[in-house]
Amino acid sequence: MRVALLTEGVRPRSPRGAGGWCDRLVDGLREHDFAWYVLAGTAGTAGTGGTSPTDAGADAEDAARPAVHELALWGRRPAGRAPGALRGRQYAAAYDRLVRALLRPGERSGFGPGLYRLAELARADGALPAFLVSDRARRVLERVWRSPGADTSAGQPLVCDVLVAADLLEQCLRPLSAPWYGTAPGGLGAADLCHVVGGGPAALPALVAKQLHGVPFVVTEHGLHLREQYLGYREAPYRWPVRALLLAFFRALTEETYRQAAILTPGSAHDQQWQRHCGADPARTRVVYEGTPAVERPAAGPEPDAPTLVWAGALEPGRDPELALHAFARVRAELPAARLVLHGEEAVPGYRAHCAAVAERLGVADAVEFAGRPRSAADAWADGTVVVFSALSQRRPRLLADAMLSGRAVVSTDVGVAREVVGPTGLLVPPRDPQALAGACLALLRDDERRARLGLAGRLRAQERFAVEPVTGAFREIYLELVSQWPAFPAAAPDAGAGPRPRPFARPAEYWITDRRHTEPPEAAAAPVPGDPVPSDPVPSDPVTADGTGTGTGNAGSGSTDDGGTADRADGAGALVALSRGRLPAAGEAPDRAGSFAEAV
Amino acid sequence: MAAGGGAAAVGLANGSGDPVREVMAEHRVLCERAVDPLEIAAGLAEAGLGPAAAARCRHADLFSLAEELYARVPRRPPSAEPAGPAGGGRARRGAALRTAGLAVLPCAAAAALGAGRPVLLVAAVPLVLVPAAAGSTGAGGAAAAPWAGPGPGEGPEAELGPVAPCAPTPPAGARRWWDPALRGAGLAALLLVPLAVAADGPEERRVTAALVLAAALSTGSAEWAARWYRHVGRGHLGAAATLAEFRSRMRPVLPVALALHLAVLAVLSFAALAVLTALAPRPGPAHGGGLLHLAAERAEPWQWAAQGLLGLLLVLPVLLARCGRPGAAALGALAGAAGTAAPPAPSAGLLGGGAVALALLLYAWPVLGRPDAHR
Repeated sequence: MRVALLTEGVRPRSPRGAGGWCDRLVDGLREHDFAWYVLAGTAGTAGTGGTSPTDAGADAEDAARPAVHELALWGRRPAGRAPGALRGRQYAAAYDRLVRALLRPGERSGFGPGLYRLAELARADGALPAFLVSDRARRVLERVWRSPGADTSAGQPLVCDVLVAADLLEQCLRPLSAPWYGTAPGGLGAADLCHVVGGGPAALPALVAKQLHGVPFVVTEHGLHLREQYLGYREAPYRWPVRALLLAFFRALTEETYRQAAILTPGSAHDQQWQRHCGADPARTRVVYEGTPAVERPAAGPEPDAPTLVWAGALEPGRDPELALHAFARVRAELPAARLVLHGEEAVPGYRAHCAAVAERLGVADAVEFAGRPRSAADAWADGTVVVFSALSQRRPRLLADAMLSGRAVVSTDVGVAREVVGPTGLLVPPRDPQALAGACLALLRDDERRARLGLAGRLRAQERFAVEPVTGAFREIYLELVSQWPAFPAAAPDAGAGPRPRPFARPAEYWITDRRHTEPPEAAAAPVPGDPVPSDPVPSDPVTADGTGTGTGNAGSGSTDDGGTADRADGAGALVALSRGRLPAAGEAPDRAGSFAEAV
Repeated sequence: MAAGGGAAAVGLANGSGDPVREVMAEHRVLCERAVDPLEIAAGLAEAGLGPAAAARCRHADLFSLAEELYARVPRRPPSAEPAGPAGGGRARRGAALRTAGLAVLPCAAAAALGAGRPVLLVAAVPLVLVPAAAGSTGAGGAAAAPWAGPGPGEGPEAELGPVAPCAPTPPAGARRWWDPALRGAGLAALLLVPLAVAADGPEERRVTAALVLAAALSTGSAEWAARWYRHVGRGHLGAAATLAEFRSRMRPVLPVALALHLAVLAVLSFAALAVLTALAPRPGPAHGGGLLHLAAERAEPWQWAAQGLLGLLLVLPVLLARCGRPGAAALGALAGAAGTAAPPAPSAGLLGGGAVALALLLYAWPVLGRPDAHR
């Protein structure tokens, strides 16, 4: 099967570096042909340069080197002339529709048609970037923006806003004019499916490929792109109207992506709620946890002599190391030998000094160590007896999972993905509650047996959920399921509009994994009609498939593990309430509580 | 950020029975600046609120709580707009002095070597453009592309430090690759200058040298005018409501900038001639009238006209270079040099220079009035 992997490379070549998620996927699914389509951060060379997977040295001649196509998403506008008068009018009409969808609440449905029309035009003559910064496009934008129906609840746009927004939209829409479409070899139309890793502008080529060539696509998001935009734009140096326009663009793009995607695989159930709120169909959503190679790592060695709390994360207010410091002051009042090690670099200038001042004020400065960035996360966990997370939000599970894999017991604030990841194998406390955090830490520090049991349980849980093989297994099934529902080579289908409706499961799944290095399928050689639009109403996915994967892949069934476990949740909530009331659990009742935790695993 | 401990105390002190009101008071800034409810939901989740907090506010989830907050809090964007770079006037003055110094030295050297044509000055234009092109890193415009999503899958160590900043987009004005080209052009022009030997007699050579020095000094004012023009343009960018309004606001600014530069040039030329007259009076029989009268009469009318043309040929390339058109600026400077130097007779040179100045003016008028010239 030919899979087009669409990602956004923040730094050039970084997603394909050692340990990248996409690398592991490509390595795990050797039976498929992958081609990378990377939206590079800086001006990259658009062409094919082979990069081998990480361990390709062993079997270099065997590994089909995946082709890499890059497109510069930022930086200078690609050269090109603006369209002529007639084409310019068509461009302006499509752009007008797109901008209206962003700015007028009542016309949101025009986003998709406007986008696809722009993509068609751009594919024909490639003049889209030049058009988007032309005076004509700016006039269109300004006219719609200042028209009465537009949503400008916090201020009218000025000329500078129009300029900045036009430039930003040009950069965002650059994938529409990428030379990637078409059914020739190397084009997205020749792929059997697209796999978008990351969402956002990386989904644009997949949307266009689906519209033009009928290629289905999967969206994998670890940390939601839209949410990152909402958080990131609060600090952005743009005025309110620009911010509103760009965020409206990202929201519309995300909604369209979720609507069109055949399968969505968010990285956690926490993200799944967001996706559902943005219009994702739960029947087409599977949670696939982000696999990490750290599951192979042995557990951390013996605990240090002094009872030590380890805290890890960037030093910034959102991670709330101050809470850890306040809790530690309470712990130290009970256990004078206790120590606290904070790993991580400061993300806000001067914040480390602030934390040091807080520690000084609390009188625990001599027992607190700012250890900076560790060589590896495993070293950080090995330093401690108990791992503490005091963040106000946990959007991604990877740091928590890494800590659990060390076999140390974990205390975390009950935010974001923490409940889902830690579950019953650690202690959850409410955020901003030093008393509760201190109580949880003390309970674990004082009880060796419970600590060991929770640590082991956490390690096993993380190994089960965050292993790499379930990820590749899940995507193997998802790919096969997807192409078996999709008509083969839809563009080549004779008269797709009037002919017999393509039947799902028309081909057996084995059809797609024939080794095409030896036998070329005859249909692939037959060049389909280029640009033949296909009514791309996806075949509704069977409900059978939705629960079929729940049993098939161990890690995909988040519903059974997270929602089903009401018993241990009630138990955990009980412990949580007890801790939040500031009542330190007595030494006598702690073991049986821990026993119930461990049994629940 | 505003959701600190102090804000929580405000919520408690409020003491009302409505938990939504407490959340609202705590996250008022977030709610006022949000562009839609999802932003509030993201901000609340980031501040540590979860399903429990939403349940306390009698909402099913954080999203519906965010929608209520979005509906209840009126939008109020931050009123304090980021002001332009402070000390703009000082920076303009400094740049003007620097440019004048840069231009005067080679021109004085060439004049001492003996050159009869004001072509010297035009030869110095590329030198002016060097700092202009190198230093025009615009502060406005789309600074960065902040839509970089979360990385597709890095190690957990990535969360232990600050997030790597997005690669900034080079601003539209900064085109570094022009820099060596401009330097080369300037050097070549300087080497050609001694060859441009005219020098009919010592008297005319003296007057020409004085005028050339004055014009070289006036490159400073050209630089100042260009920077001022761009500064005014940026101000109007942030104040004008529509593109048409911006154009109408910018219409009188270019003539004013040109007139300012020409006025400074006239004053400088007059001063240079006065100094020349005081130091070395015109040979021949003594004339009546004071020093100022003599200075004004020292140069012929056609020389004054040539001086005005030179001023235009100076200021227009600098303006173009400052406003993001370094290619056109370099071309204009070279065309000006060629147009004035190539014809053998002074009158023909005047005509050639005039044609080039007219063409430059016709090109610059629409280009410099566009909003993207002021980014």
